[in-house]
Amino acid sequence: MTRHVCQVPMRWSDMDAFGHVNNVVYLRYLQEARVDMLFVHAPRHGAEELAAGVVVARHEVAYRVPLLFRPAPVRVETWSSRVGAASFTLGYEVLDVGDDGSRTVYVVASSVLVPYDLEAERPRRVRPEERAVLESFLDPDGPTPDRRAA
Amino acid sequence: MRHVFPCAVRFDDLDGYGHVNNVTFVEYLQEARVDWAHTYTTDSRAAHEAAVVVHQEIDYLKPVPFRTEPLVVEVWVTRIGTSSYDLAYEVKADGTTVARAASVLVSYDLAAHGPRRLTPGERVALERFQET
Repeated sequence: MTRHVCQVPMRWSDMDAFGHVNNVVYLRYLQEARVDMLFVHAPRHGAEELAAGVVVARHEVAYRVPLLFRPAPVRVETWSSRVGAASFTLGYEVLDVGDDGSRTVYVVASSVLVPYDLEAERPRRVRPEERAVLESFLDPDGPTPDRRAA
Repeated sequence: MRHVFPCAVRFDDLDGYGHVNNVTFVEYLQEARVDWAHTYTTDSRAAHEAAVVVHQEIDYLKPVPFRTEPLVVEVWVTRIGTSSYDLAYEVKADGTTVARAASVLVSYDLAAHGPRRLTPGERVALERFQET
């Protein structure tokens, strides 16, 4: 299973009054990784139009372990969990990988994305070349941000 | 009862598409939640009465271009547990719902670094805003 890997730089101001990375900021990390995958990686592989318009229809985020600021970037892995006719779903993990290969997962998340014609103001279908790039990262059985019993 | 929070849109909340960025909506939820907590719960800034977000979901229904009139964020309680509770939100622009969201909050003791039980005072405040 291939995942898109993005090292996202952290900022001191990502932390809130509780001394850990604020819940909202993780969505910003996801966005950085998603933009790198869809607007930088995808065009190099023939899918040039995603950057012209993809809107977020839904996010779901499960916060697992708190993260504190440090100078090193945090790793965001992104994959496709579903590629539909006119929308697709990305899965993400925000994590650190230790020298021994151990994985500390801070956040598991998913986003439903819709290719969108901004001029016509309407959604459009996923193009074949976009499907090819998205399916190169396909993993329908990856981790999901399910609610845990509280 | 719902807590109604007028939420100003800042010019730099917009992204390259000319509408409020998806991440910013989650900031709006947080502003409404913090305003609610600071107004109605006993002392949400005290270390032993904090709460952390453990799960969040949001559906984006309509894009929001720049506006000078504030949005309205409504927040209410949908579940009260022993050490956690659920909040629901609607973000509205001129009466139209533009996003719906839900968060799971866990009562957290920042000094002890662990979850804690809800206080009786918190429970009263939560029950006042409960809708099922």
